[in-house]
Amino acid sequence: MIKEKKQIETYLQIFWISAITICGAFLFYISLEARHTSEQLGRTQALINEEIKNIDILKSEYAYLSRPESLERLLDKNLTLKAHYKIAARENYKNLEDFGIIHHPEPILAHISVQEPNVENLANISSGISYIDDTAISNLIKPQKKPIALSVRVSKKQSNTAARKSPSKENTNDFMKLLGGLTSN
Amino acid sequence: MPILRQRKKDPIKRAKQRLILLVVFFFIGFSAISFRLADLTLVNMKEPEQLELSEQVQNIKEDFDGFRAPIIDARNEPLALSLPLKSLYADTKYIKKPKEDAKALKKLFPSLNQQKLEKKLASGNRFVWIKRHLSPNEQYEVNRLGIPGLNFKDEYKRFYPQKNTTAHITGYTGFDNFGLSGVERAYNERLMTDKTPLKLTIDHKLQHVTKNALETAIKDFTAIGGAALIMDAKTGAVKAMVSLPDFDPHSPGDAKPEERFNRATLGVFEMGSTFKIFSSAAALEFANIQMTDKFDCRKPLKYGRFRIHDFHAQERIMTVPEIFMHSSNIGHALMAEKVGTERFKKFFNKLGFFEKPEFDIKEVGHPLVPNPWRDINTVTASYGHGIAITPIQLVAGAAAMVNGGHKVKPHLIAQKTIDEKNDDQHIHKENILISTKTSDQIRQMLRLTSVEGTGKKADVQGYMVGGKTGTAEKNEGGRYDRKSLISSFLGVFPMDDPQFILYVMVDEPKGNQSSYGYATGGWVAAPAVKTIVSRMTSLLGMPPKSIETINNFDSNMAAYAIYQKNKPQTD
Repeated sequence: MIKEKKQIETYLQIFWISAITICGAFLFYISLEARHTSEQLGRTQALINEEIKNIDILKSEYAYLSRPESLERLLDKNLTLKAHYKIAARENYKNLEDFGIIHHPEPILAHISVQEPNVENLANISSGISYIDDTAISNLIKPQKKPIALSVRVSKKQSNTAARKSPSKENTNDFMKLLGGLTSN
Repeated sequence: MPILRQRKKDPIKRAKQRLILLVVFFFIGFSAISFRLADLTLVNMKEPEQLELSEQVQNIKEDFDGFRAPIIDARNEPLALSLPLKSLYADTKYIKKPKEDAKALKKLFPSLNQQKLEKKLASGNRFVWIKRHLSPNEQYEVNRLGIPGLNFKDEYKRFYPQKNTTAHITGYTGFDNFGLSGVERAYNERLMTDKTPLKLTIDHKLQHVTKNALETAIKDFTAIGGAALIMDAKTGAVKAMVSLPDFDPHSPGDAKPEERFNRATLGVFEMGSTFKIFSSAAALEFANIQMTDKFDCRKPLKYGRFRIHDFHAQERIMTVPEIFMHSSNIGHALMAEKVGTERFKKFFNKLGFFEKPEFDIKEVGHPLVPNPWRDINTVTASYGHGIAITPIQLVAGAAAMVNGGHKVKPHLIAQKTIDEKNDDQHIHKENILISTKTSDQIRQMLRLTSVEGTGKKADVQGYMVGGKTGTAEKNEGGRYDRKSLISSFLGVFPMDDPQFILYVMVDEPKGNQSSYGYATGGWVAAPAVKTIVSRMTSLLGMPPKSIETINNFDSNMAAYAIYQKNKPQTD
């Protein structure tokens, strides 16, 4: 009886020691895993921060390149739109009705009242023109040497020049120069 | 006791038990180590690149110096951003050939002083700045030199994509990235602590359009400068604010003092006839004057040594709308007399013309107000002389006159934090300055001025522009100089439900051939307002009103009827 009791005691001891050791090992494993995950999290966070910084640089470059004065300059240089804007200028007509323009509850002609090129207005012109019939347009346009269509056109010569000398690349260089220009000792 | 005795008796068995325990313990221990070893070497094997990366993580984790939150406009376009740039420093302990290295660096950065650089490189210091804020190309070139001991440190530098266009709004920062002017200065702490973008009410496209129009006016009339503003008439949100000449915020040190001077908020000017909006409102609101009331404007008025005469003299008895549209100084002086000095002063005080205005930048001027205020000051102030205020105050005051009488607080910040709702919709109703009836009458008179009066050049077909011209002689050394003028135009549109107030002010314009030598507000500033309106409506997608709607509005105006009834018949 005493022998059996002793045996049980021994097994219990073994059981407890094993249980404690297994628990210890398990906890050790969990702590390792936690450290590993935390490292991974830190690394991911750092990569996210790095990407955010890259996005900021791209954003600023985009904002610099797409600022209105830059776009206007490019438009003047590369597109033959200035003449079209002048045609659409308010000075060239008095009353819309005089030109047989179909009345629309919300007339769009204000969108083509702008005298200087601007990219947003291009979209407005192209979207707005559907409200005006063809004869109205021909009446609206003052006699010109060449037939003019109210759409974005790039002459062959200009498109070749543009291809040789990419304006966006030029502007990117400007941006890089400006970045360089931010330097001081 | 018997058990203890038993244990003592059986030492071999006890040793066996202990041995088993030890074996179990070591087995578990080795198993854990083996498991981890297998995990690291076989399952989660790391590439050498990854190991390098985890080293880099520590470097990246260190926050960069001088980060400031972005400033964005109403279209969420960035107006100011902090960009990470590399700065070059040297650990001179590793520099073996200071003379040669200094020469190579000088070749790359010609602005550096070679002798000083050589001295620095030979100093033996562990940290010496060579050059701050390099461009990516410059960094590449430095790396190509392959000089040991040269290292890079990440730093932030403020970048303003719109350059000069928004320089007076955003302001600029110093070398240590502290805000020194504009929003950068006023919201320095916010920008340094809260990393979310600071949103402004400014629209960079309207800003560009406004700047273009003002530049043209300044160039055409060879002026020394100017200011222009666009404000939401109902909320006081500033949509565009331009002061010319301006400067590049990336190099404020190179700018002249007059370029850094913000005429729109810091400049204090005698506004001239645009003040007649307020004196007319005071007359209609407080002196029980009706629009049909007539005033004798045939002869100049004499007040002691002062003689008040009209620039656009009609020399006849005129009604209130006529006095307003012909910008009669005599008529307004007579109306101001009827209002009385106390009521006039009180009204101007409520408009905020006696105090420095609260605004979202710190570059704000203090008005110049006569002290003591005598009756003659009431008379001269009625046509905008003898009191000097900032353009931002004038525009905010005019907004209240046309929006139904609610005082607005001019502001630049749309959202102070990302969580706050855009307060553009919030109308500051706590101060009602005039009744809706008076406001409506002012609107009619403004419209009449641009249809029949001095502001014809500002009207844009389809948009019902109203406005008031202003031409003030500059007071220099206590004397008014007839040749140096402040010519301005305050425009409002659309007049049936005013949404925007526009103000263009040109400093010292000179008449040209196209203006027949005139340099008044109607010739100089009104066309600029017209240009801005015609371009901004397109940008904002505002459709024009039909001709019938406009004709109906104009012909139904009481002011128009009074003008038609009383105007002198011409052959």
